[in-house]
Amino acid sequence: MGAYIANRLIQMVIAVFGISVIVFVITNMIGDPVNVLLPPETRFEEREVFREEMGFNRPLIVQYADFLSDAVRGDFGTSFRTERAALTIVLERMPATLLLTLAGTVLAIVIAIPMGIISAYKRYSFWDNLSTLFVVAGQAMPIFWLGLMLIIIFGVNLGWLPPSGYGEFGLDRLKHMILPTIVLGVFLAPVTERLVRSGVLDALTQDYVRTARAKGLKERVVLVRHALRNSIIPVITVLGLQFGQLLGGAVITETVFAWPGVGLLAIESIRNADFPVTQAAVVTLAVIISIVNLAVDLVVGVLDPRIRR
Amino acid sequence: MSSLGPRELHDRVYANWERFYQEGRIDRRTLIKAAMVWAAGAGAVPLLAACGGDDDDDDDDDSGAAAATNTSAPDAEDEPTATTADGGGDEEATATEDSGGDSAEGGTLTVILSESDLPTMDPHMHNLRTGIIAFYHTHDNLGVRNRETNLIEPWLAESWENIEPTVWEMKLREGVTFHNGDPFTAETVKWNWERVTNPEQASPQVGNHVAIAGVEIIDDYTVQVTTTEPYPIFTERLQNFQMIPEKLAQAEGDAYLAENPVGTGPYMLQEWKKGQEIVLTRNPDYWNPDVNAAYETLVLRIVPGLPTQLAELLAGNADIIRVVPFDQMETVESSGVAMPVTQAILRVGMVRLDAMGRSGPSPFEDVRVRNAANHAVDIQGYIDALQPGGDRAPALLNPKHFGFDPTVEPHEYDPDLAKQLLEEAGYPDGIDVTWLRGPSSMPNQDQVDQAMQRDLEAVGIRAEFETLSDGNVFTTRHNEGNGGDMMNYNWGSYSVFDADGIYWDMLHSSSIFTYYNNADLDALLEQGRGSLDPEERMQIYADAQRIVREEAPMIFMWGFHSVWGVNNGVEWSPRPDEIDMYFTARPKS
Repeated sequence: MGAYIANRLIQMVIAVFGISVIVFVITNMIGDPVNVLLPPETRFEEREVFREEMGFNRPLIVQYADFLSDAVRGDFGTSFRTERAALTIVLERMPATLLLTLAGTVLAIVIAIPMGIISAYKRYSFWDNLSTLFVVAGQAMPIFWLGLMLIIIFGVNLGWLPPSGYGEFGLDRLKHMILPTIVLGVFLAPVTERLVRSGVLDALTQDYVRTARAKGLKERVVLVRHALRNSIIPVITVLGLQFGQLLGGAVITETVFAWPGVGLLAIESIRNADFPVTQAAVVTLAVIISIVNLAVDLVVGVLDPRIRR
Repeated sequence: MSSLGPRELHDRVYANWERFYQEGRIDRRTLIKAAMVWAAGAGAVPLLAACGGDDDDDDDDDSGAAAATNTSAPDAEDEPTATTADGGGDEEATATEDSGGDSAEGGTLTVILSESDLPTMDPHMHNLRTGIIAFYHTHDNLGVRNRETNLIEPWLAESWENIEPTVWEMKLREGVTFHNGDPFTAETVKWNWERVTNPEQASPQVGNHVAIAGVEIIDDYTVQVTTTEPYPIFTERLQNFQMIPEKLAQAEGDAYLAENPVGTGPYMLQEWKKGQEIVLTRNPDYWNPDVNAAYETLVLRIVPGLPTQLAELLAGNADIIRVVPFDQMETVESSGVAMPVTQAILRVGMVRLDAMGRSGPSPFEDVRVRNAANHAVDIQGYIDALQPGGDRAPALLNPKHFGFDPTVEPHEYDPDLAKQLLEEAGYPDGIDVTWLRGPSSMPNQDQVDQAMQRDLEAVGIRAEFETLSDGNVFTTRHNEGNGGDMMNYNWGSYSVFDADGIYWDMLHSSSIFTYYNNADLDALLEQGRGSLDPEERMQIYADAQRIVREEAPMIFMWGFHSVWGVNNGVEWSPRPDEIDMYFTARPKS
């Protein structure tokens, strides 16, 4: 187990390192920070002097080495725009993102598992077809479109829920969470539902299920304790993998719903060419995704001893 | 200035789309796309009305009742962002929100300020219009523009006088105090100007004040400001320049100022929820009784994405939004919740031609080709179809600029003349040129560009689009001289309502923005900048406009419009300088 974790940790470091290279190169390609930091009427010569002062004229590789040596110490530099530490700004926004992604994941599980079981158990029934419809629709709907539709229907026409924003802590926050959570849940649920369905379907044809039934166990116990439990491992793995996609979806969801999370921050910082914040946001998200995936693999290892070896 | 209702606007735009198609100026795909957009808009309206109709009526009734309640207990409103949180039922929640806006003494005005948060609360350390707007509420300026005359009038300054060509004597208002109790004095003015022009401070606004040589204190409430040369637009520098208390700043430092906007303004900061909203509360001791802000609380919200902003307006959660797309005006009007409010603004659009071959040899170096381009395009047609109410800018100046000469005739739409000019210039078979486009800067930008492209092609000017989505790359290409033959551009004149605010940067050969070089025009612009006599300046700029009109260094277009969305329960007007003053908002009775 120890060697397994160590191995995974090394993989994680390599992955985060790779991402840091990519994000550094890309941010430096999308715009010239000098244009952001200086007013438009600044003359060309003044720009060059400034570029030199700030070290933007050095080779990219040297700038990257500097960036990396600071970043491993948790220093992503200072935001160009607000002159505050980039990592602090990112961490301030992190709770909002985690709250939303967690709620989205929970909702997806709550939708997907029962739906998957019913679909598998009553294959080709009305309920199975309905859930297939849901899966197709959920996969086909662009996330921002669904978000806007929910805003128009529930926020504007019916006036039941606030169209956007973060709200005050408490009941108000819950109300603000509902629509973005639905969007993320609907985004994540279909794949999970399909996995549960096929896993349970597969399990239902297995000998141990026949044995369980032959023992005279209740159908509910057969389904949940035998069929579902044995088909849940790929579901957990995929949920872990999808966590990255979910954070990607959160970027869009946060933008549509004015949810002040890291995704929205990343978009804002890209728009303003505020490189340190973009880099801090992307690297932090990459670290979180890596940790979640590691955690998922460990959980799976606990659930299924065969994998540990 | 447009007085068109959205209904008329809709009809006019729609009719013109068809005409454009008939005349072959737009292709079928664009027409169908446009028709679909309009149909969707028209379809959405009944939907919105059907679902929202009852609610709206309820809202109106409720808000009246709630307003009465609020008036009887004006100070009960404790929670600035109360919004939907506290209403038990959902529909009441909306009504509560609205009613907040309707009460005379208390209440909350919620404005969606921007798509992204302000970088700082230090009014000298940003160059954003949204920052200027926010700090017009927390701080005060020495002068403020009169929205009718467009002239700068005294505010924290009581009067000013040009006692020598380069010296302005300014009397300051007495008895004004900052939110922290510090007095506003001559020392404050001197310190603020020194701060913003100090190279070590690196204020992004330093460019506005390059002509300020120094400030001398005469007595506690009198200063003399020296300029480096006679400076006719001196008063323009008295606005968009907010006063901060010098003692506090010296004691607490820049980091404190970046979080704490302490000014003399009609509102004070209550809370800055970063990335979400700036909550301001009315300054009970405000010095200017004329301002008399009607709302106890002003919430400046940050909402990325225009569709969401629009939804907040239509849901009644936001009282004012700053951007309503043209094609959504009817949706807003028919919502029964809010109205679109149109205002002509100072910003001018153009297609810049490379008249001096700055980015390589260009056919536009020939003045005949530049005039051909101007005669080839139906500017008035585009205005009627796509930019209703747009003010033509026949020689680049907006009619709102001081110095605008109404007798300068715009180029006529005359394709035959355009062809003839091209032929005279030695291009009987026409020319192939590049046209660099950036992110959209005005409503219907793509449609205007496409119509113009077709019209140009009809006379033989074949322009190929290169479209950049990144505004920074676009601006850099322009400023570094790689803009190519043609390039979309627009200029807000730094909100300076004077010909100098646009001619110097766009056309003087020393400017980094210019793709034109003419010694005669340079001389006129220098004279205009150096003269303090308004009549003489009018004449100088009249002459300059004739040169510019004849030389046609760009395809002249029009002054832009902006459309705000305002809740029906709120009485408020935007301004031509786009500096929104929400303290002028009143609940509608």
